[in-house]
Amino acid sequence: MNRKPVTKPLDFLLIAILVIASVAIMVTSTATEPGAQAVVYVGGEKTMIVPLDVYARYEVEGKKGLCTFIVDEYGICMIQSPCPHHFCIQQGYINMSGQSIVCVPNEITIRVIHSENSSIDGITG
Amino acid sequence: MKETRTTSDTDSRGTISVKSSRWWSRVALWTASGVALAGMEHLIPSPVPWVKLGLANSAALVALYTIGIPAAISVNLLRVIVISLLFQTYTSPAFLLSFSGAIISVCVMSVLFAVFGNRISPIGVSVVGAWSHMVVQFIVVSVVLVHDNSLFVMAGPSLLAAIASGIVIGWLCSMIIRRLPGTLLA
Repeated sequence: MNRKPVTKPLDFLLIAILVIASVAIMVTSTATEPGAQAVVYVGGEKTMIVPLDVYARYEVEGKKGLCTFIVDEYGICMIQSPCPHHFCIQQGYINMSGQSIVCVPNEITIRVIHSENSSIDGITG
Repeated sequence: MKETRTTSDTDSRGTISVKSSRWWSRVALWTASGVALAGMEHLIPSPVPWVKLGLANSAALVALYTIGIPAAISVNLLRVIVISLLFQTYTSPAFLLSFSGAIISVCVMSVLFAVFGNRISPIGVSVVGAWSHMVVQFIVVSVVLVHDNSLFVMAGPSLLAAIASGIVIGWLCSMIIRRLPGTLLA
């Protein structure tokens, strides 16, 4: 039976490189500023702009059915969706500028932005 | 017919030639395993959105190590197509996600395998495959659904999770490759 170790030095090097790359992506793109509005996209089309200081409940028609999301003191959160896995609901609240909730099957994206005509879009987009 | 196995469908190094029926049966075997594993994984609830164990990728990884690069690419391609037919997702963006992820990750793994050969273990190959799969998913979602790069805010934890699952799957595959009976190997 082969008793040589499974791993090779190159494995550790690759894993280290990827960990560093992941942390770099995380650090450079972390949202720090609370957002003021949320934009709702359906299938890539901007369909709704929602203020985050008005606490309310919204419904939006996606490709598969009606999604329900709420805005309250913690931010914006998907509470009902016809998608099979409910990843969008599990994601919970978002409130920082740049964060988004994506429902892939229903093709709905909710994205928190600073405000409608923010200059951040010009830099990052 | 006096056909002997070693001379009819293998080359001098013992690699199965791509056209042989033995090659096709091996590809079919690992594709079926990949589909079964993906189906199994479908039943396991995911703790975090986006994060999967990637069990299905282990079929392609084993095929890569035991049969070769064309086999690994075929296994992953066929697997994604069969799964999309099974779960009827072939028109949804989810299919685009799994298709692009599977293609890119198996290509990256093949390149690593071809360049480094014995200097890299299945663990390293699997980690890079899982990581590239996750990156491709984020890129595709950003381009197709979100139209900007705001989604990368959430990418960090998912990428770290991909590295962890890649290590697990790679370790599993190295065990499988080591213990497979000779009749199942190339």
